[in-house]
Amino acid sequence: MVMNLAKIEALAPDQAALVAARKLLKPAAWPTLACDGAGLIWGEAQGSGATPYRVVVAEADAGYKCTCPSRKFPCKHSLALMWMRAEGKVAFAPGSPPQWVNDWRSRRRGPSQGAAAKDAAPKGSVAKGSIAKGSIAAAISGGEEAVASNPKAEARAAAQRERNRQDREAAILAGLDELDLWLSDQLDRGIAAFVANAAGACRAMVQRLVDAKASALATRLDSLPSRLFSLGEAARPKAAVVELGLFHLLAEAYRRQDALDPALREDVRQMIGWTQTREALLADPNAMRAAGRWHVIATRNEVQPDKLRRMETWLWREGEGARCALLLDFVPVSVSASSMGFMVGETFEAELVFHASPVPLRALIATQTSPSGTGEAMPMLPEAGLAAAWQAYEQALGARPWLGDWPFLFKGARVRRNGEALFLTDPAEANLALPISPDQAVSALPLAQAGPVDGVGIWDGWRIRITQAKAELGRWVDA
Amino acid sequence: MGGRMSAHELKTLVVPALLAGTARQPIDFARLLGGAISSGDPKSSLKALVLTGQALRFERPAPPSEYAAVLARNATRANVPEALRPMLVRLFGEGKSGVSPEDNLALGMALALERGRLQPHPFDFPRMDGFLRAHAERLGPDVCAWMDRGKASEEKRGYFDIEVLDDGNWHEAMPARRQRYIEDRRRQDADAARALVEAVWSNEGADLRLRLLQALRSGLSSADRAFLEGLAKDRAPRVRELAERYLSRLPGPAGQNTALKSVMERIVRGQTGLLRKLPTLKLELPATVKGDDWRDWVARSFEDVELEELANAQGLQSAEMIAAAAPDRCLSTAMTIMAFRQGNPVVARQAYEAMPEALLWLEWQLLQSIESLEPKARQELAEFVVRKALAAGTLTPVALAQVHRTLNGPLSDGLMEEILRAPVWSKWSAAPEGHHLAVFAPVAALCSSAKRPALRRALAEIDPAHIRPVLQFHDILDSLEKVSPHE
Repeated sequence: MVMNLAKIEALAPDQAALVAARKLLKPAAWPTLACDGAGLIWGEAQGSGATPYRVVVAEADAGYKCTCPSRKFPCKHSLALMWMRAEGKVAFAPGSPPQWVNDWRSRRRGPSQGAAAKDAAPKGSVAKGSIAKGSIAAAISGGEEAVASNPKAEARAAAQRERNRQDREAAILAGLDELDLWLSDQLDRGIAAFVANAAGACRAMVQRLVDAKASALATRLDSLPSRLFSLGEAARPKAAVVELGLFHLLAEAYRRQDALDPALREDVRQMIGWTQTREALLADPNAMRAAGRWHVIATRNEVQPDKLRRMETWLWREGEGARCALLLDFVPVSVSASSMGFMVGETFEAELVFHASPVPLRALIATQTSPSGTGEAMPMLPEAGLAAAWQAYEQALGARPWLGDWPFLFKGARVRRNGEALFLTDPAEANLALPISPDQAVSALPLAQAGPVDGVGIWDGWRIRITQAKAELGRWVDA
Repeated sequence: MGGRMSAHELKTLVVPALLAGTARQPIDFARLLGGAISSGDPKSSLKALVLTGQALRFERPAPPSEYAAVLARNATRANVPEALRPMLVRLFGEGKSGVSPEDNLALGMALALERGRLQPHPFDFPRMDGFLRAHAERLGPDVCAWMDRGKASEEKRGYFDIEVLDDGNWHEAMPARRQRYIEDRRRQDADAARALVEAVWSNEGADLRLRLLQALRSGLSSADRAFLEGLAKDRAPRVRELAERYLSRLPGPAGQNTALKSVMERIVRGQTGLLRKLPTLKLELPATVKGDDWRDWVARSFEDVELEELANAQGLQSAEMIAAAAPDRCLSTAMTIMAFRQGNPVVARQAYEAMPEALLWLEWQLLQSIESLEPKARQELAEFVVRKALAAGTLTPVALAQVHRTLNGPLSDGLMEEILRAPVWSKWSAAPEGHHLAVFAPVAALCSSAKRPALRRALAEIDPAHIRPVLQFHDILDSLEKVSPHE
């Protein structure tokens, strides 16, 4: 089972899109409906114009493309095609993908692209085959290939790149010095005063960090006021101490990066704003890779201050070599896609490649070898309670002091209530009670009556957001 | 201070200094942190900030001093099977594909769950808020407790889902069932029903007091006078008002049904026939009532008048009075409404047949007026109205929706078969695409399990895309009936 109605509902941008898609579930409206038997379906939907819209969907990751001019993503045509596939009442003619489908497949950067490119390209390494032909990086590397035929031009280009890198390094260091000054100013005035005027205090420094090309640090500082204000008033000063301390820690670590372990050094550089392209990571022979069956244990998306929607998919590979991974995608808010292709409970076979870090977490799908399938069962969790999960968090925090969100996998915990607030507690350790995110005060309330729960949550340093749980009563999934 | 500093010391010594500001309270962090930072370090305050921040990150959140007691679940209702949970949430949840909680399908599902003594899964309660709110009383004590979760503890009360009510346990049931129990008891033994209500009266909230008083509507007699007079000082204005209306309908010197008196003043009596003189009755409308306003005026004016007492006041038998009023459109309509409310099927049919014309709008009024009748009479009269509309070709889905709300159950298999074969079915099938759901949802909700296959066959002509919720509703009902021993 690849597509199902729950997934289609989750993907739909709004109810109107679903209603509109429902009206297109007639085979008569589709002159062409076909599939390649390998997870790709496509069709032509007869719209109001003479030319039908061309719609293609990759079942593995719910990637889609339609030629209609709708600003909703996915549009009704894409949803209708998925819907017909999910219901299985309409026959999809088996066949080879037409050229327009192949064009789309070669351009996209989805997880199934690796396999597709592998088919299309001559035999080579997976990473090499995974390079997206249509991506910007590929275009640049294509240009480089042309330059490579001219050694002088290549030398000039390399020198230019090095100059650019050095300029940026210098700009970042200057920006970090200003950041230290700014932090000292905040300390002079007092953290309590900073909390009272966090947005105003951060604004100019954010701009300065942007100018200094420390983009990730700028985004982190930009979102600091909203993160502080999402906490209770009593917790804000303490959170401000933690957060501002991390800025100086990152700045110092960046200045001393040459003395750091390579993984930590790469991690610091990413935290400041240096990025590693998808293609470079896939091609990196030293990058950590992990293959196996991955469970989607949590999904989350939030809008950042820079108008990008940050979409997170948390994965868990159970059994021996159990580990978590985080897939991160960013899309412009204007695209309106509010859901990623994965849903909690899905599983798929894939090889992931991880960004360098002392605590490798962020990853990309290098190759997906099976389409994602729905699973109603919880993944097999480690035989550990909440206290053990906390210890694992402390270890990770020790290895990576700027650790952000962290997955907690636990067994035998209890949800307990104090007034309106919920806490995730370990019956064996009375002093361990993690506050549950206040926006789950209602949705997680039934868990308080459910007895011991096994589950998964994402801890952000202040609160835990339970994403799924299992109790004697049944399975609970975050709405 | 020398040596290593604990997280606690960092918190108690350094954090206050950082919060207050180092400009106001210059602090020698090198001395405070005992060598962790060299003296004269220009970044000592920043380093103190980092150290303190990291120490705080390793700190476990402080647990609350106490937790609320865990409320025990009421085990009288079984949860829907795990496999049905997603279907139920999709159709009746808050998601993008859900139907309105007021929809007939939602009511139909609540009734089916009530019959099967099932409830939605507690983990799905937060996703089905609207549905639970609209039908809480049918969905069991756990749902009622969930809906009451925001209330102050003194407002909350435990509900019990008792399968068979009797005089000893009726007051523990949920409000709607209590009202129905008292209505039934009132029909059997009016005094006993009043005694039951009197016994619990002082402990109940205003809403429930009003419901219980409404349940005493039928069979009012002088024996109720003392109780009703005692309600003159009730805290709830709605209860006082209803008690006053009841009092005014009681016979005797104190009882003076003002509503009866008022309509009697507007009924003009005459005679017709040459050899045998027959009485005629005519209703004189107030001059201010113009056009179609007479419908509301009639419904309002005769609301507190019973057919029997009007007949007595006219010195006629009910049947004679109905015949005498037949030529008058307004009065015959009033007679029909009163006859349906009285619940005698023979008289009600006579009144309906006596009307000079079938009035479409009256269906809704009649169906509302029979809501408090005992189930058999209610079913018979509702089906009578449906059959009449079916024969006239005027049956509408809106009327069927009202029938469903009135019956709270399915139509008889025979009538459903008639509907499926009626010309009106073809008309509904040809309705514009967007209207199919509104048209067929009431039919689906009124269909018994025995006729569901026939309805499915009839619906096969409709594009499934347009009636998907109806089909999903049937799928859920089929599955529920397999698991519930009560169906």
